[in-house]
Amino acid sequence: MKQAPQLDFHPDAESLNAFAERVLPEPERVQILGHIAGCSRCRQILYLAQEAADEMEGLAWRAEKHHQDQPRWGMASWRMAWIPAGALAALAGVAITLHFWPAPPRAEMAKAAPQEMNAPSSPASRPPASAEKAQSAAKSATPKLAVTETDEAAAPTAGRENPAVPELTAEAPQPAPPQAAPQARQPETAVAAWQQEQQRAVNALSTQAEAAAKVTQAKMHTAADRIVATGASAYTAAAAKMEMKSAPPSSFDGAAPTAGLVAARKPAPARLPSGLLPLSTATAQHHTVAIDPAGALFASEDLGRSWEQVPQQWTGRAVQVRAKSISSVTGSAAVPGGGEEHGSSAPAARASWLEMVNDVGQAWVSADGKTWRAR
Amino acid sequence: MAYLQVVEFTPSQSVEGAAEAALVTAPEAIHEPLHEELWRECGAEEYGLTLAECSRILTHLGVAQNFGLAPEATASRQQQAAFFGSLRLADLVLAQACAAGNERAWEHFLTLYQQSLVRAAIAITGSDTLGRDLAGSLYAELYGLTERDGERRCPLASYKGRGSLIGWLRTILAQRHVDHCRRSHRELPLDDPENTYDPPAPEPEPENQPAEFAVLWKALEDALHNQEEEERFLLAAYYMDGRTLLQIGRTLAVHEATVSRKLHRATDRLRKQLLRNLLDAGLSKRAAQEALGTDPRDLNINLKILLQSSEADTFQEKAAQ
Repeated sequence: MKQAPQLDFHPDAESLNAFAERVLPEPERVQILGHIAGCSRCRQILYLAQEAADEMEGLAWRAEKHHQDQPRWGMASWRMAWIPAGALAALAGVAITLHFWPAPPRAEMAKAAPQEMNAPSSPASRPPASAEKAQSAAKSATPKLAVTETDEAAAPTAGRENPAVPELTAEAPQPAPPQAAPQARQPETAVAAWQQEQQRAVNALSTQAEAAAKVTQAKMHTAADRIVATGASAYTAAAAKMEMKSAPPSSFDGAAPTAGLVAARKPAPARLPSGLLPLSTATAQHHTVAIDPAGALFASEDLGRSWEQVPQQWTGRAVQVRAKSISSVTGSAAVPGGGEEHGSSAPAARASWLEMVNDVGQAWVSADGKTWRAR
Repeated sequence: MAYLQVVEFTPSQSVEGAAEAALVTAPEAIHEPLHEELWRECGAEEYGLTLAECSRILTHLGVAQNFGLAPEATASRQQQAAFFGSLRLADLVLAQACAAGNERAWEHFLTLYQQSLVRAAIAITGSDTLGRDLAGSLYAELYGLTERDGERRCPLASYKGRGSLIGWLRTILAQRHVDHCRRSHRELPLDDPENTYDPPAPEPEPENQPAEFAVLWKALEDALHNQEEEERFLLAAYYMDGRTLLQIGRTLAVHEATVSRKLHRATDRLRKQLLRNLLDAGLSKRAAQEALGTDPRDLNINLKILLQSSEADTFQEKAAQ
């Protein structure tokens, strides 16, 4: 028989707390348990104290968790901050790239052009037209700018397969650099021819510039800018390629760079009468010849506006045409575009002719581009 | 009384009386090298309690309980160290220093427990206002504003360091709140016209119940009284107080699955014991089985009376009487 619950007295707070905290020895614990089994008051006290302890422990746990989470959230927020920051940086980078990407080539070409024009030794290595100047020419359509465009846009179109390249440079005539002309001892005939060509180029470019200005004003400036710049870049590459192709054998003597001769950079039509793009073009005086990939040779007297196919007077397949000249000052010859310079004084073109090379390296020469004889 | 004898506390002896009895004990009751060790261990230096003051408090506490030994036994140094090692020494010295009126100890006490006490009071009362009132009243009492017979009385002096001081404070708060509710749950405000006095229903006249019901009552009473303390607590907490298995498990420091298993076992044992008691009372096995199937609503049995006696007064009321 168990003892009846002792209800006359209640255990004090010390014992109840010790029971709740389980620090009582077993006999005393059983005593307390027997009491609270029959005492609703002590059970209520026990329950309330326990709930308060649980709540305080929960608060402490939450506070501790919050304390632990706070620096983590802080670090996370910093880490999270990198995401929009990185996105903004990437966006800014893309915007800057898109906005300024065409600018450096334009600036370089714009800067390089006068230097090239002032360098008489290598006129053929001048870069093509800059997009910036082309745009300016399209907007202003002034003859002065058009002349510059003509001079710098005189690279051959061989290998340029981008039809979007503006017409500003497609058929522009290629006069000699005006800066180089006064320095050269040019015959009066050459000067007159150069002025004539220049005037024609000015007229042609003025017309094209006006048309382009209308288009440019109607279109977005940025798009036109990019197109022009792209065309200029392609033009630069094509010019360099053609200059390399037009390099004569190193044994060639008697030719000198002249202001009136710009081999491999003369303008060529977008397509020859055969329907093909010119493979190689050359201009001597006002005679322009071009070879298409099939080996057909075409001659033009009006800087490529109209072409006439030249009957084959050579063997093999014509693969290259180039202009040759002889300097009357030094007597040395140089290959236009070859980068080789003989003589320190300013060279001047005294006589020039055209030369064609077939697929086996044999050469033919012509003064007018229509009558060829073996060299 | 048996419980109080186990905890070495007699109702007729007040806490203050025990402390006074300890005061007359010489400090030399504790081995000298133990003083400094305990003083450093309890961290009394933080609130400026000197070694001498701490030694005096510890000596009083140890002598009052004879270091947990029988009254005539003499405690060795190891026994004294074991006794103090089993106590919450830091909390105990702080509480005793506060009870002795040490201002710095009181400030340290407030720093440590003020917010916790308010939160505990709010959690116990379920109301911010009532909780702050309860905590405030306890502060005043703890600070010793209550005087009896011209003496400053501080409940902290009754803290013996067996459990944590904050747990003790929570239990004190719960005691005050439960006692207040039990005293005032029948009180009604006079100025509230809607609260009209509703007298309790008169006790029903005892009906003439069959004789087997009396046998069943007696058998059930004996079965409940023969149950172990823990099983009775489980039955009371689960069936009468409506506590969940998880809450009961927290009280008993066991898993709720264990509580469920124990509860199932307690009801089985109660049923078997009840059946055995009915058989012992002269009923046949079939009649005992039928008696177990009696609708409880037909029985005039107050399980609350069987499981507990709520008529007992609180310890404070008894002590006051």
